[in-house]
Amino acid sequence: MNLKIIWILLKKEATQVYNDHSILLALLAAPLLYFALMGSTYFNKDEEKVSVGIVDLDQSQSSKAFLNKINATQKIKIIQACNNLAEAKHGFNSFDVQALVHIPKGFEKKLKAHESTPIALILNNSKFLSSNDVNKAVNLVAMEYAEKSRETFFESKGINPSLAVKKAQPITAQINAVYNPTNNYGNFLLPALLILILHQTLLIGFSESVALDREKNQVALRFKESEYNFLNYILGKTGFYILLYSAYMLLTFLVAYPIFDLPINGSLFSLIIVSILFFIAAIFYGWFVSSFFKSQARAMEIMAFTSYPVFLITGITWSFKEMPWVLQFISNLIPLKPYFEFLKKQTIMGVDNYLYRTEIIQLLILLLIGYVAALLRFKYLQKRELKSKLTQVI
Amino acid sequence: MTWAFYHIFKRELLRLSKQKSARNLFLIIPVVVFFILGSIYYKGAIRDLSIAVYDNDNSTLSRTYIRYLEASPNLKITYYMSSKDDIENVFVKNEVQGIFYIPKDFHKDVLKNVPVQIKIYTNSTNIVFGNLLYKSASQVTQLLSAAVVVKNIAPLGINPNKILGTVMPIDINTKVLGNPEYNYVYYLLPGLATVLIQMILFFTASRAFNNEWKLNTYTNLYAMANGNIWSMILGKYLAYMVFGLSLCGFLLAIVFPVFGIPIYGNIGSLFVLLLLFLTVNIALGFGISLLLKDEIIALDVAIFYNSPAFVFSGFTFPIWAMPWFNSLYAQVIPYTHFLTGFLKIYQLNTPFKFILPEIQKLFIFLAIAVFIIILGLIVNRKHIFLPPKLSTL
Repeated sequence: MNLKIIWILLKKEATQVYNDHSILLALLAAPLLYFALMGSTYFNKDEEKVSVGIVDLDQSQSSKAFLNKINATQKIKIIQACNNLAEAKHGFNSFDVQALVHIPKGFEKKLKAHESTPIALILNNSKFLSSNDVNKAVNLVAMEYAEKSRETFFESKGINPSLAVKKAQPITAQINAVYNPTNNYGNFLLPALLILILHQTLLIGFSESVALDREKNQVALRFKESEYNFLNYILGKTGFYILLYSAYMLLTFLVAYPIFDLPINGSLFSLIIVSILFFIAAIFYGWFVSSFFKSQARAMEIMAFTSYPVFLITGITWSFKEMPWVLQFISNLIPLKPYFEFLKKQTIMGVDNYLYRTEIIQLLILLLIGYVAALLRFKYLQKRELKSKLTQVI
Repeated sequence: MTWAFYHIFKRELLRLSKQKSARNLFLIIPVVVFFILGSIYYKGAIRDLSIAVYDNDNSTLSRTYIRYLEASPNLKITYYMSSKDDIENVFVKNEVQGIFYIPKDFHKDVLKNVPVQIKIYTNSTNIVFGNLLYKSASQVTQLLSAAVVVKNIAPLGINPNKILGTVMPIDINTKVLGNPEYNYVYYLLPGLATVLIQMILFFTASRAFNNEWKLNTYTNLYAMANGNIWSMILGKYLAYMVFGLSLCGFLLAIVFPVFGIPIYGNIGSLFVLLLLFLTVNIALGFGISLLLKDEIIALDVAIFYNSPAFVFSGFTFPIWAMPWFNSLYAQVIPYTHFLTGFLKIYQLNTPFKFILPEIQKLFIFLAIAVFIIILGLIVNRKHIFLPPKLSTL
């Protein structure tokens, strides 16, 4: 390993990035713009005031009181009052309302007669988040009525009011959403999304550069400049990216996290060290894959399409155990998988060191696999270059 | 001369099928990515979420509660905690998503009319698990609580017909439309697949003309079109449309049936919407291709514009909850409007008139695309309108 050679190659790589608008855009503009644009999308963290329509056929004081209670919840906003279901269906079909509450005639009468009073809640479940929120809010209001009704019954039997309250709800569930107290969407998705932005822009920019070397037939030249030493070559080629993305990583944890109010409950030092390891592993993998591309445009196109599958296969939005074993196996070969697990445990959960040891070991193994794959590919390409040179000479 | 566009159409079909890049985008990527995405969510719904229970009472009632938990289709007790366990570590060590803590004297307190709280801790780093746990935990606890209330009410003298009305006066009958099974494949795969179709078509179209300049094949194209730029555009458009419709056909006729995804709506309406959506993306891609001579820069613009389309579409996080700038940005992506129309037809089976607002918006995008095409024709006129001598080559 020769530091001087590495430095020369690193400077050459930086010059290549500077001179190529596309790589420059992917590495310098895209991460910052996506951070601002996509990060701020979840700035409010959660939704409020989901639009709901109502059909109140009872038009009684009780039905109005019930609807007022629903409207007073944080998640619901009644925006449409219709006279019948056909009229309400129009708003539903136009997506003006996400749900409909239908109160039948005789609601108040039944309520006062202590009879079970059915209310229809029609949900548009094409988007889960809003549908779940409305369902939860309406059911909570119905539960309030249940408690009140039970209390009234007990009081009517001569039980004193304070005891009636206790008897009305003998067992309650105190549900604590640990690590994400408001169970909000922003805290769930944003940390992973920020890392995905870095991962994908790195892969796109870096693969463009590697493919460009092949497109311009500069691979042989780079090998020669590295004196056919893999460490010289790989550190020279990737050093710039490692430095740049280490800086981005600091920006993420020290600036973006506080701006988006994301927690870091574990040690910042281990977070930084493991993040650097992750980026190095991703770069080795990236070099190996990109070395098969002969065109910059093709590298960009393919890499751009890896974002969704790579993100979703890590199990960030779904249960990893519920995936087919083949996908679990593939996922475990991608550095993003153990890193996301580590990130969750280190930032949001802040668990003890020994509880993320497995992820670090997995990441180190993947780093080694990436290194070996890149080394073998380097040897192969080098051999091929030398062979073609020999053929030319002959 | 009249049929010049037909020759261009054939030429473009041939050109695209020979291009490695187009083969990757139209064939390999959709097959691989659609099936990966479908397989991730192939089980549809999460069942048997692993939970831990700490029964500090060990009474008849606490055991009844545990039986209720076991009976819930969404929960599976995989670990019974002891006093030595640290709650926070149990989540990671025992890989559970929720912890149910039944306090000491649970049964006694219920008998003494002392309200009891069962403490439930959910691992809400994943809100899919968090929401499911919340729902199941509330249901199970309310069920047991209601059973206790009924037991307390009965001896006080009540008309049996009024018990239900007293314990649960308002009965919420929930009717779920559009994916009533809460199936994640039905929910996510169509959305993700259509956004990928948009990206594929946009990317390839953004290289439709500048790639010809790069490969020095434009003169041939110009000659074949007899110098008529509109024949060129129409011929190329039809070729891209064939590829775009093939992708949609693959999605609807192969991927959907493989993963058992139903289409509730009218296929004719869906076809009209898809046709317009594909047209808009091809036209926007053409506009960029004519405007930006460097195909790499054109591709950059296409990637930058299209990549966040899914996040901004409001599919997983509603547009109304986004800050104003982001909701504004969401409106300038055609996918946002297509998705609304698509969901209306495909999941809610709404009549065609309800997607007219989305159709109108997509037409506005088409008008913008035509404007960009004209702008490209003006800006790069020297490269587009070749001298007559060259056009006959």
